[in-house]
Amino acid sequence: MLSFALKRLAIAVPTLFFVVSLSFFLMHLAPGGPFDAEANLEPQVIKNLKAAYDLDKPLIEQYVRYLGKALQGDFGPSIIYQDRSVAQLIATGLPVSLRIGLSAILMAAMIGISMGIYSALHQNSRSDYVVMGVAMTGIAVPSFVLAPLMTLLFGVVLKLLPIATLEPSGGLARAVPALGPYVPYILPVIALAIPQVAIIARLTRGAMIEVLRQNYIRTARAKGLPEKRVVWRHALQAGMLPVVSYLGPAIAGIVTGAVVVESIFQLPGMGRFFIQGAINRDYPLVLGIVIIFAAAVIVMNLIVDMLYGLLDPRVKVDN
Amino acid sequence: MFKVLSRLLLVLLVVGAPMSAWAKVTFTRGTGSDPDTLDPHVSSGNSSAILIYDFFLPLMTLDAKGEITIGAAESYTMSADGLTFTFKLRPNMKWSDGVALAAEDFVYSARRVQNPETGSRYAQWFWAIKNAQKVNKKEAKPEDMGVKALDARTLQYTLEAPSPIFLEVMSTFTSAPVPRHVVEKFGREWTAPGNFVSNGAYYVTERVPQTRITATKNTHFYDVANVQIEEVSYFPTENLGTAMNRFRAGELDTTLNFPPDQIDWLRENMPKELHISPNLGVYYFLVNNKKPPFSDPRVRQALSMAIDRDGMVSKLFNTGVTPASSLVSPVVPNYKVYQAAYAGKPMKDRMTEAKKLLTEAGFGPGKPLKVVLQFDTLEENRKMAVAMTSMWKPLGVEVELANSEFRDLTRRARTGDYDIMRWAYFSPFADASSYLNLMRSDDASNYSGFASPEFDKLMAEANSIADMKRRAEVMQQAEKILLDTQAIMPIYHYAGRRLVHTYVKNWTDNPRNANLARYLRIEKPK
Repeated sequence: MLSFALKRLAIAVPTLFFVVSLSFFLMHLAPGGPFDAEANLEPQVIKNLKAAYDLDKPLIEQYVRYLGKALQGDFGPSIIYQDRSVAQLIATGLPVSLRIGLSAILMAAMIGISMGIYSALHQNSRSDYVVMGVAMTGIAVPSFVLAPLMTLLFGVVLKLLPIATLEPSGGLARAVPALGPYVPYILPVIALAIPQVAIIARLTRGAMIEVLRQNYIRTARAKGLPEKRVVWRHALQAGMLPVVSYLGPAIAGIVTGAVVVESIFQLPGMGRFFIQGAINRDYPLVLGIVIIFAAAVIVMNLIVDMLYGLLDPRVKVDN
Repeated sequence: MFKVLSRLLLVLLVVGAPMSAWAKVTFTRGTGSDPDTLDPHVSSGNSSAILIYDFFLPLMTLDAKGEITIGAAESYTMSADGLTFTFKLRPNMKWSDGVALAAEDFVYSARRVQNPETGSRYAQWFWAIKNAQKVNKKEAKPEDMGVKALDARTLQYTLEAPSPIFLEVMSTFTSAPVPRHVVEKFGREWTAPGNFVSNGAYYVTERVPQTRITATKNTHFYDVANVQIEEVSYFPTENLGTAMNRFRAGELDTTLNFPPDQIDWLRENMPKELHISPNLGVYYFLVNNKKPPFSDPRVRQALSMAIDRDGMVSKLFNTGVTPASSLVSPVVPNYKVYQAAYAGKPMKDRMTEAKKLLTEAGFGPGKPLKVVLQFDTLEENRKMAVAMTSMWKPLGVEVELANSEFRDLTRRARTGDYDIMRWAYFSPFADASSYLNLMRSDDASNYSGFASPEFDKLMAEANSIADMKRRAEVMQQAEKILLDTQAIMPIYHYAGRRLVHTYVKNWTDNPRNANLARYLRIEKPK
């Protein structure tokens, strides 16, 4: 297992290098530079601005300089946030994204898996249709519709939860002060989790239905094992495989790309920095986040592969 | 069961109870996008200007009504030739860390703005100061700049030529002094909380990017006795829907903008909180004056006449903007805008005249005029572009709409790669010259390619006249040249859109959209 992990991490280095190089040149290929949106500036002033960020140098020289600095962990200064370095921005954005992303995926997994199992066990019954109908609605309603509705209801009308502040405010925080630090995250986490709940529930249902029809399940039932044990011990383990393979990239995606939710709730997460960086051609900021994102995908995929080995004895990760 | 219900009821009662009165007077304001930097010399000003005005006090500043007044300077004098300004600083001025502030700090700051390594966007505003432009181009030493400290409280600026807007320039956020002792110690990090030092009513104590900036009252501020608000929190409000919800929920005392489609709801339900007031922005069509057939004034006039600005403003942009028939905003003081000839004429007459002009220019049913209209991705611009196709259609004009990113639009403007494009200008100064200088043939920002020696001559003259009345007359003649040939096509003048709770007192809407926290008072009902 350890050698497998080490091998995979060794392959990650050229992958990261490739991703960074590709992103670097693609970013510079996009029309317009960081200072092109600044109308009404004297050419001399633009020249000074470009020089301040090494953008007056040939592209290859900029690339080599960037790689050299990035290897030492220096992602350079941000262009939009002029008094901040990219590393500082990531240090503020990543914990927020991790907190809401992981909470959302955890919540989604707990609810989604339970809903999926329930539906699979009551396949084609009325309750199955209700549960899956709810799940479909979760997929169909985009977060940019759901989130503002939730802020309107819980923030403006009921005044229970804060809308877009990390301060513990609103009725709930006053009633239960112990919940204070968590209160600002309730709405964003729910908004982020709902579409995931739906996807996970459908994946679980599909996989479980298939597994429950397998011969070894029939055998287990024929041997007289209690239904609970059949489902939890034998079916669930195999039924989780598609969910686990979905969760890996989903965690990486949700942590780095919760742009809409972060924007609506004004959370200082990675997704917002990424979009702001891309729109404003903040090359160092975008590249810094791309590196983190690529690393997250690589690590999550590695974890998924290792979990596969644990869930399915037929999969031997060492081979 | 009964126990559980009674506990639940108790919780609900606590939730419903009004919040206890704030011990501190705090003020929360939505600022649009997250400020790029709090360094006044480097900032682009878009969303950070309002913060920098709260934190720093330049020689001149803005009063409660947004008008220019003395700031760090107690008084000033101008020499008879208009070339020398002498400022006397207020006595015993201090930075927020208690260190004394002297005239030398202003000299250091003026030089820092022109230092090319600072990368100051608005260094060009100060090029009226002797040798400032040369310093910015590394053609002169910083010491050669026309700014010196005569003593600890006296500051002298020498200009290249008289500049009627010099005092206004000295009130901009870029003219704010920065604390040399802090900048040199911390470098780029000097604006971080803990390091941050300023000379205005507030100084920064907390900064979480994309979330919040908190500033506390500066006890060393010269007018601290008259500052009521003790703490100001600034929140980025890029998402307008969220901003409006936060305002309604009381999380924000004021916010910079709201979703335009909510205006009717706001007019009906929150009329006292809704503040719409004209500002210094103008939305216009940039026309490529160098490219045939748009180089022909008749073509430009015909196209401009056919634009039904009143209809467009009332039907498409019901958000307080006003139809424009001038480049200069009508709210600019000391100036009467020149109205383009089409203004006030009925649409029917305008269309007849437009058709006649196009025929004279050689266009007609057999040879339709083809126009590519460039605009950038914003719902407002798309609506406008679609409206143009139908307004120009009766003239037989074939319009092709081209949508691109704002950066690409700017690139096209710079390189002259366009026919007609949507454009806008938000003047940093409440002065007509700020708009009209954009059209001088030697101005780097003249993207229209308009070049008129007569216009240039008038503007050169206006830029050196100290008598405001005479100056205004000369500028009006220049604007007449511009508008009679429709070198640009004005569409509408912008309006500031604010939401302000009624308990925020002393709020005065003004063209600069400047409401400094030091003048405001919070009077929440007990």
